[in-house]
This record gives sequence, C-alpha cells and structure tokens, in this order.
Amino acid sequence: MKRLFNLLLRIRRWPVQLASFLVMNSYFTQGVTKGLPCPGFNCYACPTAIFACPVGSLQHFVIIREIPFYVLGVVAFVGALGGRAACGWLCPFGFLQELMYKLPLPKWQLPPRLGWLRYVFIAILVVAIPYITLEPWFCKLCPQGTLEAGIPQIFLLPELRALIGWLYGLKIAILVAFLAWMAVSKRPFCRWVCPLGAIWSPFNPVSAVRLEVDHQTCIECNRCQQVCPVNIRIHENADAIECVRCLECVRVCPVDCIHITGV
Amino acid sequence: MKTQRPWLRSVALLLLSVSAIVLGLLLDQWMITWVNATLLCLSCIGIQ
Ligand code: SF4
Ligand code: SF4
Ligand code: SF4
Repeated sequence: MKRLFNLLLRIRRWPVQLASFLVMNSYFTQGVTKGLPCPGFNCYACPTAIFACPVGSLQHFVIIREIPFYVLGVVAFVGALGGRAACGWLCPFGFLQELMYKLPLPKWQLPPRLGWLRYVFIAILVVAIPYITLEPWFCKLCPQGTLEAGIPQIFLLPELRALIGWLYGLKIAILVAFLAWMAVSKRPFCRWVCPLGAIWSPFNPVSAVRLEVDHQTCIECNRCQQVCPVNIRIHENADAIECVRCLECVRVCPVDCIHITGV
Repeated sequence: MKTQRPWLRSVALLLLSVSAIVLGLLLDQWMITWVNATLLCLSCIGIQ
C-alpha cells in the first residue's frame, strides 16, 4: 500500500485533470455511458459529455419525487474511497478554477469558514425550489452549464437562438462573474457553492484513503497552505472537510510530516 | 474519539454505497438517469 501511495506522489496532477476532462467529454460512448454519474462537475448538456452530471441528476430525482439511491450511491462510493479526491484530481470545473488562478492578477483571500453556504445552495436550489417548481433551478443558474452547454449548443443548434431571453443573459453574467472571481481567489465555486463538493466533504474524515499529520515533526512553516488550492492549514486538521486531496502539501512539506494513510 | 478499527468503518461505508447503487439499479434508476442526461437540458443551456 505504501508503495502505491508513493507512486501517487510521483504522478503530476494537471495531466490527470486534463485527461479526466477529455475522457468525460469524449463523445463516442454517449449512448451507453450517460447513465453513469461522473466523478466531477461536468454538464450532461455539453455536446460531447459521456456521463451524467450528478447535480443535474439529483435535481431530476427531486422533481420526479423519487429517492436517488443510485446517484447518491455512486457519489458516496467515490467519497468513501478517497473523500474529495475527485475534486482534486478529476473534476473539470475544479481544474478550470486552478488554471484561472494562475493568471498574473492581484489576489484576494476568501474569508474562511463560509463553506456551510454550500449546504444552503443544496437545500434551496437542488432540493426545495426544484421540488416546488418542478424545474432544476441549480442548472438554470449553473456557470458550468453555461460554459459547457449554453455557449456551444447555441453555436451548434441555430434554432435555439430564437429562445434566448433574460435567463440566458443572467447565466452568462454569472459565468463571467465566476471566471473573474476564479482569477483572483482560489477555487471560489468549490469552497462556497458546489453541491457535489459539499456532499463529498463529510467523507474526508472517514474515507478509505486519508491524510495524517505528524504534529511532533511539523515546524508550522505554512508551506502547505501556500500551495493548497483551497488555502487551508492541513497541519491543524488532517481531516479538514475543505481538503480536495490534491497531495500538493505532501509533496512540498520540508520535514515530510504529512502522509497518505489508508485501510 | 478515533475508532480503533478505521478500516471497518471504511469498508462499511463502501458496502453501504454499493447497496444503494444496487437498490437504485433494481428501481430502474440507471435508465431514469440515462434518459434525463440524454435529453437536451434547456435549463442547463439557459433558455427555459
Ligand atoms: S447545468 Fe450545472 S448542475 Fe446542471 S447538469 Fe449542467 S453542470 Fe450539472
Ligand atoms: S467542489 Fe469543485 S472540484 Fe469538487 S466537484 Fe465541485 S466544482 Fe468540482
Ligand atoms: S490540504 Fe493538501 S491535499 Fe488538501 S487540498 Fe490543500 S494542498 Fe491539497
């Protein structure tokens, strides 16, 4: 097991994230694989998507008034394996946010401890409003849907252009606002909005693969926080629910006090 | 308090999630998910 964890540390993350985006949007297996919820935030209305978006699917089950055993089961299975590792390694929207943050612009640190907002978004936009209105309201506002479906589908299907109205304008405005925010803050959508990350968060302390910190060795240099894509101090709590298990901190720790551990 | 046998907890969680998947499959939820994902979502595009 230790050898496997050491191998993980040698793998560079961005090629995996890029490959994951390409696989999730590889088009050809759509007819077979679209019934499988993907381990990340990838819109099923994207012309090339081969998997189902878990958040869109959950809203659909709320609307048809069925408990989503299958979708929640798949999401929980991924969480039970590695907590939020899919956020750090596989999610295309997480990858986009990290790329945008690399732009050389002034940076703004998000105030910590507002992660609970994500549960407000789940309760209101994924459950309550879809249940009442029978419409997937998270999707109607979702910036990933605009980017992967709203913009390309309008180009590919000219007949849709006549239907463009205020909602489309609102979605574009939300997308632009998030793109700007991503360029100045680390992963703002993941930390304050994403329902999928919110579902995976409680799995971090109980997943099969976790992190552990040797507090005796830690010199509190904060190198881990500097490289962390969600700006947390993992040395204070190895089970932090914000951690996306990217392992960047494990790589940079000068005294080697952060370790991967597992069943 | 940390449990003495964390592997047991992880295995239990994995089994629980697999059970949920199986139950969902028995309720034909794979097909419901597939149909919903395959039909073009106008809300995602932002035109309805
Ligand atoms: S609009 Fe957003 S939430 Fe809805 S299916 Fe697309 S990516 Fe998922
Ligand atoms: S929290 Fe971020 S990385 Fe995780 S699924 Fe949501 S958008 Fe993707
Ligand atoms: S604490 Fe470490 S593993 Fe977790 S997100 Fe930050 S850098 Fe990645």
